[in-house]
Amino acid sequence: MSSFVRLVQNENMKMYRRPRTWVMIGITIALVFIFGIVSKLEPSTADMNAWGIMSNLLSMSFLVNIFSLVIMAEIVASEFTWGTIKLLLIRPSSRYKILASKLVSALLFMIGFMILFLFAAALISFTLFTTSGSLDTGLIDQMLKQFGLGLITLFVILTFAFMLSTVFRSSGIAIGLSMFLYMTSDLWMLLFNPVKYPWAKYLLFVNMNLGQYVGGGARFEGMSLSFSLAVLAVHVFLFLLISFGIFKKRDVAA
Amino acid sequence: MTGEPVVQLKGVTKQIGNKKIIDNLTLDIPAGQVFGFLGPNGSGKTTTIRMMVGLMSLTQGDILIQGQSIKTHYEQAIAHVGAIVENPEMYKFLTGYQNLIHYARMSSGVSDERIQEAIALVGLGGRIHDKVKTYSLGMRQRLGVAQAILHHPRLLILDEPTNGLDPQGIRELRDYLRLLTREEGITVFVSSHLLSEMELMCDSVAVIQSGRLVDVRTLKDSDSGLTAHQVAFEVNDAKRAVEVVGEGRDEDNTFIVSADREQIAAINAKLVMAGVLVYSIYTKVTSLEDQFLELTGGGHIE
Repeated sequence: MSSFVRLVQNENMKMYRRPRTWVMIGITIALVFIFGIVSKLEPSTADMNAWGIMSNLLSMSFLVNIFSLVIMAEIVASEFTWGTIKLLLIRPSSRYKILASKLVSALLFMIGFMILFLFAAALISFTLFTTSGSLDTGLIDQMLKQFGLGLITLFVILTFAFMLSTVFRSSGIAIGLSMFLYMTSDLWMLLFNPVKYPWAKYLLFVNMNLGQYVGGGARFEGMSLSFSLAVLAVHVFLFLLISFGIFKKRDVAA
Repeated sequence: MTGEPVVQLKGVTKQIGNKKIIDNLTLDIPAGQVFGFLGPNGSGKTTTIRMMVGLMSLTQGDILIQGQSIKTHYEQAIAHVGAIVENPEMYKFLTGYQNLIHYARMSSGVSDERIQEAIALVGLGGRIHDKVKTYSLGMRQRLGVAQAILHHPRLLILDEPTNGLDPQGIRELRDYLRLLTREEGITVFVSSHLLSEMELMCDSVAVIQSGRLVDVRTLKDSDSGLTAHQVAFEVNDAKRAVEVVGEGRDEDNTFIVSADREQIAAINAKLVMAGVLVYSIYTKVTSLEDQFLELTGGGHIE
C-alpha cells in the first residue's frame, strides 16, 4: 500500500474514532427524517410529489456544509492544539504529503457525508410520498443544477477553511471566519457592488453564489458562470498554495 | 563507542529576529551511548532538538544523522530517528494501540509483531487497549517511548523525559533506557535540566548555555576528577572536630574532610574518643550539579 494511502487511513481513523463526528452525522440524518415526517403530517404538504419533497429536503444540505466545514477547519488546527503535530511531523513523510492527506481525507468525508445525506433524503421522500402524478422535469433539472453548483461553492469554502486552519492553527478562527464568509457573501456583494466598482467582480464573495446563474443569468454585466468558475478556481489555487507553502516552511514550536 | 558518530551537528545556528537562539553549535554524538544534553531553562536545548528532528529550520549549518543531511535528505535522515519532543502528546480519544498503529503506518516495515514487541518492552500490555485519556502521565511516557522505537531507530531523542514524572516513573524510564541501549543498540540523546538525573542516566554529557556549547565530558570514569572523595561527618560540634582531627573544615556545622576508606574509620574513632558525637558519615560527591552551576555561572538566562 502506498504511503499516501496509509496517511489517509490515519486521518480517517482520527476522524471516525471521535464520537463528535458521528454526532454531527446523526443530527443531520435525524433532522432529514424529522423534516420528512413533519411534511407528511402537515396537511398542506402531505400530498406533494416525492420529487418536490426531495427538493425541499435538499435545502437542508447546509447542515452537511457546516459540519464538513467544522471537520475541515479542525483537521490541521487540532493537531497543533493537541500538540500531536510534533509527533506527526517527525516521520519519514514530507510535510506536503501529510497536509495533502488531511485535505483529501476531509474532502472524502464531505463527499461521503453528502452521499449519505442524499440517500437519507431520497429514502424518506420516496417511502412517505407518492411518486405518481406529473413529473416536473424542469424542477428536477433545476434542483440538480442548484445542488451541483452548491457543491462547487462548498469546495471553495472548504479550501478557504483549510487555509485558515493551516495558517492560524486555530480551529476557532478557521470555523468562525469561513462560516462568516459563507453566510455573509450577499452582504459583501452589497458593499462592493460590481456595478459601482468594476474590479469588485473579481472578488471571491461576489462569485460564490453560483445559484444566480440558474435560470436567470448573470446579475451583473460581464459576469457569467464560466467567469465565476474561473475566479473561484484562481482563489482555490491561491488558498492551497498558501496552505502548503506555510505548512512546509513553518517552525513548529510549543 | 567507536566508529562514525550517529549525529553530527555542524555549526548549527538558529536566529529568530535579531536573537541567536543557537550559536554555531558543533557536536558529535557517538553511537551506542546515552548522551545527555544539559542546560538551564532557555539555553536552547529544545530548539536544538527541534532542529534535529526537522520541526524547525536551521538558519546556518547542517545536521547529519547517520551521514544523511536533515536539510537535503530529510526523509532518509529522520527514518533513523525516534523522538519525543517535550511531553508525549497522544491522540487521547484513541486507544494506546490505535496510537501505535497510527505511527506504525507512517514508517515503512513496522509489523504487528514489532508493535507487540514495543508494547511488551515498555510494559504497557495490560492497558494498551484503553483510551489514552485514561492513562497516567507515566503511562503516556511509556507509550511515547513505544511509538519512538517502533521503527527500530538508530537514535532515540528524548526531550526532558523526566518532566512531571514521579520518582518511580523516573526510575522506570532510566531502567528501560538502559534496556534499549543494550537490547536494541540504540543511541539515546536525552535533554534535561535535572542534573542529578543526568548523572545517573548518561555516559556523556554536553553542556549548553545561552545557545553555546560550554563543555562535553564523559561520566562514569570514577577517576576523571568528577568524584573527589570528600567525606562529611555530621557531628554535634564541627569546630571541635576540626581541632581534634587537625584537618578538614567546618561547613554548615558539618565536618568535611578528604579521606579514603581506611582513614574514615580512623577519623571516626578519633572523634568518638574525643567525645564528639557522630550522627552520620557519608561520602560527599562533587556532583555534576556543582560543576554545572560553576560552568553556567549559576544558570542565569542572558
